[in-house]
Amino acid sequence: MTEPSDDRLDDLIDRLADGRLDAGELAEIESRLQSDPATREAYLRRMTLHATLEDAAAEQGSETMAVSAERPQPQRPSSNRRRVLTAAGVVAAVLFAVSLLLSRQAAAPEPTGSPTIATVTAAGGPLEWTGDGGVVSFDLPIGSDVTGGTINSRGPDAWFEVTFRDGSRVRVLGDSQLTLSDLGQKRLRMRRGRLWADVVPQPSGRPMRIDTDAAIVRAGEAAFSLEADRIGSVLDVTGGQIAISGLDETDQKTVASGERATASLAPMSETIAVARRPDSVAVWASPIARSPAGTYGHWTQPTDDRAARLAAIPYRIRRPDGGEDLVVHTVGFDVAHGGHAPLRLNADSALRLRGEADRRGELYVGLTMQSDGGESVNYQVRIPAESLQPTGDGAGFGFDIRVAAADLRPTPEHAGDPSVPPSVLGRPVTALWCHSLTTPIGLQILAAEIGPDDGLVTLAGR
Amino acid sequence: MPPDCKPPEDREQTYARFVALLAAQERRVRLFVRSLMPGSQEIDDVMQNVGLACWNKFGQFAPASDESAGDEFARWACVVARFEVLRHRRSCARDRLRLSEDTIRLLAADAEDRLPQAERERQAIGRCLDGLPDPDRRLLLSVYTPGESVAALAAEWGEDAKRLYRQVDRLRRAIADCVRSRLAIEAP
Repeated sequence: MTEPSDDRLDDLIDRLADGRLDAGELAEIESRLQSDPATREAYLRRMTLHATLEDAAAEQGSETMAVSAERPQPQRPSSNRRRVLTAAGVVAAVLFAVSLLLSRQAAAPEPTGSPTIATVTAAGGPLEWTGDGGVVSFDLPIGSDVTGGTINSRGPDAWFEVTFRDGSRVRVLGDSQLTLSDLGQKRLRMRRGRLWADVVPQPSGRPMRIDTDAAIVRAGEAAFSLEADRIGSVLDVTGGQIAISGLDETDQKTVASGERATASLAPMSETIAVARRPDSVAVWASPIARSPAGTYGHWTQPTDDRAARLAAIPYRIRRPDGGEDLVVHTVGFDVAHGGHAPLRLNADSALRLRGEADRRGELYVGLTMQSDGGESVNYQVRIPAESLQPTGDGAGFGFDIRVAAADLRPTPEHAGDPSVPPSVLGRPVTALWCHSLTTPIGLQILAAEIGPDDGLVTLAGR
Repeated sequence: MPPDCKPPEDREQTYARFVALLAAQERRVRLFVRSLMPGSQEIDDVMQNVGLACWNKFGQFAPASDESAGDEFARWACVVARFEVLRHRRSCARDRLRLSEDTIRLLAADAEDRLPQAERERQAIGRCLDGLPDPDRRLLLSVYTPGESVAALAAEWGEDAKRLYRQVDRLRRAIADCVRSRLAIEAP
């Protein structure tokens, strides 16, 4: 096969520079550029020629324009239109912008009367908002406007959604901490937890940026979820594509819809790894025998004669009737933590909890799932106090509870809401929790597991 | 230390130094960006973002000496520019008639390595262009001048436009040959 001549290459480059290539020709020149260093050298030499001639044309622009002004100006096709912006003009534009930046950096801290950047469009569970000026609020009614600040959602079933002025939405799920700002570019900082975002097209060069402890994520137009903790981040893209890099921004990768990127600070691991997102699973086991990662509660590591355990801690529940808040004592598990595939339950699914308590009392066991609209909905079942049996040494009570997923029902705050599905089956589960009511009973969970009803035989942590 | 963390008097000096370096090296960085975004109408937008990104990261710029600061700034700014070009490329991912990210990365790596060579070529092109007769120079630059066109010149000069287009191709080749000769002569 005859190698295309240099004239052919020059012709392709010239027409690429003029924006006149068709898709087939673009594929041809891309193939040559990717496979042949000599072609790249020729391309860069040719582009230097074009750019220098363009500069020369701009420099003599006033003279040429004066000549051209003597006759009607023919309008060139838009694909060939080039702006007359000299190098000095661009430098001036950049320096003007930098001057603005300088003046802003030198200014005093933003007053508390800062412009609002977003509106609260949904919320549930205990939340804590720290806005500009350090004002802390526990009451964020839907429809309220927020300036930049930090949201703490404190609990396995807590969630919060803001909608920015341009329609982009960010939803925080579970035990999370997220800081928001928008000074011409949406900048978010997530220290821990999980968020879901639907980002409408952002201004050129100013994508939504989210920093975690392990990665920097930039989204121009995309839908995705992001989970973060101190040593890693997991990004699942469900629409559009997203750029993700490590903290030093050297290892930047593009993640497309249907793909998952994992960023890790762990030694000897790849900084950013991209792969197809796994399908959903129907089996999950808690990691508390090894680690408290993704849990809500007080974790105690194992000793020679005592298994690791997760003890209940107080958790404030806002009453839907506006009455006094209810404080329960709960443990929670983020079942999607660590980049697991989405957990979906079927008619055969069951959940199993093994634990201990200092005193006998009734328990509530439940799951949190995401509805079609993205809202978090809780389902639960009551476990009678008699299910807790005295331990052999008489020091307390033990239990080994098995609950069919089909027996779980929406919690009372969803009563009468036709948009809430009656069952958790078939929907992505985000959290498993267990709590006593207002009186603490010294609840401790030793192991938790979700799976097929006849398959719950190897309870983790036993 | 990033620029915004410095005391005000240091910030003024830093700003003045940044302005001097950017003004002196902008043309080289712009050439680099153009090479990665052929035919694009958004070079100016990207260049402004490059300038701002350079300012934001200027605290990280640490040249080995004052003498080499210009060349080092150009190279450093090109690395910043590479990311800005890739970021821009992603923002218009649906436009298929653009170079792919993989190709841009390859070209960027080569272009960063040949920055001194590109500067020599640029100077040689200027001298070769000065050697052209005025009508040829005007014809060649008409392709790059808003409001000018080969067709308009053909009408003004009473020439056949196709012949002038072929003449433009010949002039480009002549300039390219002239540059090669000059660089060969000037090579140490």
